[in-house]
Amino acid sequence: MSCPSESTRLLYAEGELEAEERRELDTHLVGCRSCRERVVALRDEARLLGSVLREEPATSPSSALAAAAPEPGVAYGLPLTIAAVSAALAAASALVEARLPGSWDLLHPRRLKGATEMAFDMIFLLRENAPGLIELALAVGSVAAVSALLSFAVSSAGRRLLDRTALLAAAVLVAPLAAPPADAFEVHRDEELRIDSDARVDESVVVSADRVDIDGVIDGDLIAGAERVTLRGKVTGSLYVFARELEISGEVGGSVHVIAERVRVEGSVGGSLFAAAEDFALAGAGRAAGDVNLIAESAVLGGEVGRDLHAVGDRLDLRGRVGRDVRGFRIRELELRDEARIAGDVIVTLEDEREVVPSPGARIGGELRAEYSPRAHRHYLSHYKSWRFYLGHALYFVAAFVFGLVLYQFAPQVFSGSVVTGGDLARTLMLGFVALVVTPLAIVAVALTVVGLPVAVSLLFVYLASLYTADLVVGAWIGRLWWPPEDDSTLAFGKSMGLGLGILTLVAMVPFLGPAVGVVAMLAGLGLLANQARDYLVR
Amino acid sequence: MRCGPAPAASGGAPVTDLRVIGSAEVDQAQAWLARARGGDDDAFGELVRHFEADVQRLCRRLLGSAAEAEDAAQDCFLRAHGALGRYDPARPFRPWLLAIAARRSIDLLRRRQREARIFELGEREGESPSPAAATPLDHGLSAERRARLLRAVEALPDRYRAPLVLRYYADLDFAEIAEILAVSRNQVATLLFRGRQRLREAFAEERP
Repeated sequence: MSCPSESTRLLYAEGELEAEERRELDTHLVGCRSCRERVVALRDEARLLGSVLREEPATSPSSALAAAAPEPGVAYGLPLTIAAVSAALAAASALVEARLPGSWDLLHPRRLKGATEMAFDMIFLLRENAPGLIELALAVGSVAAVSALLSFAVSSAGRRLLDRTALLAAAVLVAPLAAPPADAFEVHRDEELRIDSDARVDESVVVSADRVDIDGVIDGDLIAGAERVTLRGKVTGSLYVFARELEISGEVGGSVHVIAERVRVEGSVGGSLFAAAEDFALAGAGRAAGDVNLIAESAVLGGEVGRDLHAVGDRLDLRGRVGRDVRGFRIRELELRDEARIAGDVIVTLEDEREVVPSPGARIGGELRAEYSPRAHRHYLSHYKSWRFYLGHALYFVAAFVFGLVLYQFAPQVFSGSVVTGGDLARTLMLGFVALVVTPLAIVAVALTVVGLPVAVSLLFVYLASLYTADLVVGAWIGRLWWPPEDDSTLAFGKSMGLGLGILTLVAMVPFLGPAVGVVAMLAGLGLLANQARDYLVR
Repeated sequence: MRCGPAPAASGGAPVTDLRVIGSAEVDQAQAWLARARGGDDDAFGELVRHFEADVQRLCRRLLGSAAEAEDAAQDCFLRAHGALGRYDPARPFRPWLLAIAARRSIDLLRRRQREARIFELGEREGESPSPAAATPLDHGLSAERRARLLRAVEALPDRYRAPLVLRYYADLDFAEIAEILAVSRNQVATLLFRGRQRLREAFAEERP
């Protein structure tokens, strides 16, 4: 007889083999030393398990993981790690508040400089130098993502028909896929897309190309990812552009949504304009009938804005007309030139405390007011004097708490993650960081494939929801540590989570330490969520 | 309470027969048991006191949470009291009692999972074990490493932890475990086999 399988030897060692097989093995063991030793080792292991399981459980009674509390050295690891990470972040945040030396400006989390350029460079460099590879990877990625989502949705719906979480998740994930994009628009994937001045496209155009030149007419929306997008013709719908450069000298019937390095608008926009760019210019002839909302390092407004102008950025140069108010945030340099005609108020939040002096020719219908950013170093603590600060936190707490209770109804397991040791915390934070950084990149990558747009939308939704839920998960965990819920009821959970979330909200209000704790909590929450998601999918 | 024939347990010495109670105590427990079966509630109270820690520990090993374990243990004694009439005095009392506690705890586990089929084998189970999974663990472990092993057991998924605890803590045989988990005997064997492999892997990973 050849040696029996490992599972047969286990059954033998456990005394669970049927009589006949047992006799065969008895005979085999007499002649086979290795099997004999194996059986002895298996019995030793069983005895070890028996005795280990009989040992006193660890003292902390609150949960299985807490009951598995490790040796004291590691138990101290958790508070120590929290303290170390918080201290480092608090120091970094204080340093930032105190202004970094000029050459360190790149590290400043609120300065875009360099970061966008780097991101654009990387994406387009990859696109140019390895087009085949990238396209292939993106295509495979998006197909895999779509199939994974679909199969997950179908299998969970099939296997867990009564599981509300699975159904909810499946519905959320599948909903955007259900939108029938196939024949609703034209999809282009070429080196260059050109629509000549006498051409007319009667449907929306989705395009991923190096250059996009529209001289003709698109009767629908234009969704474009490209190095350079130039619109000299007309788009009757809205414009959605991700590009290095966007130039509009033609006409857009709807709104413009753009993320780019440089945006220049000389034509007219029928709706509002939303732009995130390093350089933004609304040239003299340019016009936006609605609002203009900008996040831009440098913005020059020379044309006409029909309604309000909202701008975040370093430099804001006003030399045109604004139909209503101008609201500027975090502005370092504000210029109000002679040609500026502002019908409403001009209210700007400046980084530095100084006077804003409009040029003599500038006309402002309402008031001109400059506020100083409470973030500015010497005013850091000033918002603690404002009741809005407390009201804001209170509102946040109530909203988050209610959302948590609702979420608990549908997916209680979302809140079951916990952290025991410093090692756990480090791993969770790392995972959270990866989730925080990688997910948006993945969303952009998937969205670039165009066919992946619905997937990207789902991912974006999940990502934003996770960011919001992260605090709740950490709150629920803290609540469990101090006040474990006595049963599965929503009431018990609510009391416990409310306590944890309350503690978290209060700590987040502490000067300097608060924001640092907020970051740690967000990373930890994302990490816990990612862990839970993995467990859920694997189980 | 039992169903199915008890399999012959003579494949060598009964390996998991680690008595936590000495023989004098066993006699004492037998005496209480006899009186309790005759309707003496004080004697049953003595039995409860005697086995309370044991039952609670089993529940805790199965459920993780001490609060739940306490409830489950109380519930177990209530049920045992009601079922005393059906107890066969020829069989050992501890496994009988622990089987009741186990049933109750597994019910709770199932409820917690919101997924009734915790213990059935899925299709994604064909993972190939690492080499570490092949070597049984040594009996002579230091206190620190024993604590680590216990932690590894507690970190196992329910489906692997429960059979391990039922087998090596409650000393139940495969047929009883199969009945409690509502799976076949073969599946009990597979779950135990994989659970032990996982433990070895987890333990090997943790080794400094």
